[in-house]
Amino acid sequence: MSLLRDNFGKKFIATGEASPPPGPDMTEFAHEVAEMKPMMDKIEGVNVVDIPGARVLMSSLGASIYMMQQGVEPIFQMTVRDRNMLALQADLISAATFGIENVLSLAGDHPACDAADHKGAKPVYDLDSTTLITTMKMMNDGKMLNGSDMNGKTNFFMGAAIGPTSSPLDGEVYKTKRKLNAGADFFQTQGIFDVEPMQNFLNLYDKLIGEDIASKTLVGIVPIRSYGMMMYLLSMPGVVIKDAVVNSVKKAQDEQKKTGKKGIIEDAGIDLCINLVDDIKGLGMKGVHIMPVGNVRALKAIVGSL
Amino acid sequence: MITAQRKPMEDIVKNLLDKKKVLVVGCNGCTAFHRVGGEKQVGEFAKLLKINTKLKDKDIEIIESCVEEQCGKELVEDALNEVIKGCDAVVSLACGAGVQQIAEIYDTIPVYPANDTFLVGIENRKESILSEVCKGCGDCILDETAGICPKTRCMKGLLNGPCAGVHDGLCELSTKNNKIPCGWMEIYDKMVRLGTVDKLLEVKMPNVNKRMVQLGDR
Ligand code: SF4
Ligand code: SF4
Repeated sequence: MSLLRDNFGKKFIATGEASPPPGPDMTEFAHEVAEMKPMMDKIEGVNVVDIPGARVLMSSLGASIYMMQQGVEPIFQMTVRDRNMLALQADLISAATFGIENVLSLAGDHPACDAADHKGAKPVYDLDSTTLITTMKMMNDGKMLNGSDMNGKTNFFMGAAIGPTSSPLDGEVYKTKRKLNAGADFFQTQGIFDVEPMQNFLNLYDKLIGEDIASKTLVGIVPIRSYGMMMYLLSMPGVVIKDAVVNSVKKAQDEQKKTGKKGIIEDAGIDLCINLVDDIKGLGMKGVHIMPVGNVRALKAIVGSL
Repeated sequence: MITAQRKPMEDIVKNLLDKKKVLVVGCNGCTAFHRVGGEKQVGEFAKLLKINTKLKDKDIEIIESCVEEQCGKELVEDALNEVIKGCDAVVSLACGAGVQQIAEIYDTIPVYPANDTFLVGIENRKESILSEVCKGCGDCILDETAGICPKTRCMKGLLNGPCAGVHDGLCELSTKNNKIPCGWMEIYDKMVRLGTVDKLLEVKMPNVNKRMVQLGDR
């Protein structure tokens, strides 16, 4: 059963995101999952990130299974960075066995990237985000990647990512179409902070490929919680935040300092997302992927406004 | 061509502090081209080695020699069989293959690399730098990728790129001081120029069932 598959395209939907714990203490993560559970009538799934920025966390498979057992539908993020084609298939079989159907296929940040915490780790990249989709498609047909028969079929709902702020964008457009050709069922974009990059991507996709992609895509949005978080995001490759957005966060920060009241920046971040959702709806997209970075209150507020 | 770059001197000297007579051997092949292994560099390197070992209060006798191609067994034997006598260490200014060739021939004398080897590369791709362009993977796909190798020139070796990390045409691993062109955007641009960009819509699968390790040799 995949809520995400059942509801995709039928209404404007939302997915959330959670980070597995950075060690064996599950308290915070369990709390976050428990807070998300009552929202499952409003969100269609929660992405579980896979060692993002190449910084070690509990595995996304382990955390996805935990979530599943708690009644929160996971979208199991799977990068091809750390596992060869044997281990990727083994983990996909494990996921399927535990009832996980939504899988988001990603390349994954390189272990030598700025954010990484084990820079000497060997990158694997035996497969890439496209051929992992091909692999899942074969498994859905009861086959392993080598063409041999499995003892059953999986039922993966296969997602892939779009980076609307990649530059130049042409390569990303071609790659998106290639992922679609490989069998991708849906797309989630990386976080955007105004609608322009998404609009540009759709226009270029239409020009180069001549098809609609909006109806398969959930647009990534990130509620900014503090000025520091915005600056951190800005330092990441591919993150573009327009001056108008930067200024409104700055304004909220000034106000927070002046009045001593808490939560003004957080509220401003939520408002920015709610306004952005309206613009996103205007593009004919099928929903939003909200990346709350632990801020469940923001997730609730944005979902409540849909 | 094999590309290589000189190791930091202290990494070389640390292996030689208990030695008495060291043979420094250049190679007139690839590393000479890259100006880290030819006859001229042997002379310069030997002088530097002398100074650096003296600084550590060691008086080591240094013998200089150069082989036409260190990866050739007979060429090495012809050039070194005599001169190596009495030496208790060799420093090779060749690539990793040259170092291992000498190690294989002279079983009882330790050989140390003076260079870091970067496999197969070309000079001056964008600026005056050595760029690795081929990993010698044994399954060449350059016919499908406009003559630019994604296994080597994409930092993730993706068969279906680019990843979303490309920014201004640069790889996500670029830093302020080290701008790495995104291999996949180079492939894309070249395919546009060749009029073959539609090939990018086909999924390129890895060779799942081909045995990539040459078991006889490795
Ligand atoms: S595909 Fe790349 S690594 Fe393999 S042989 Fe060809 S150029 Fe070399
Ligand atoms: S940015 Fe380009 S070269 Fe770098 S990992 Fe991604 S696709 Fe490969």
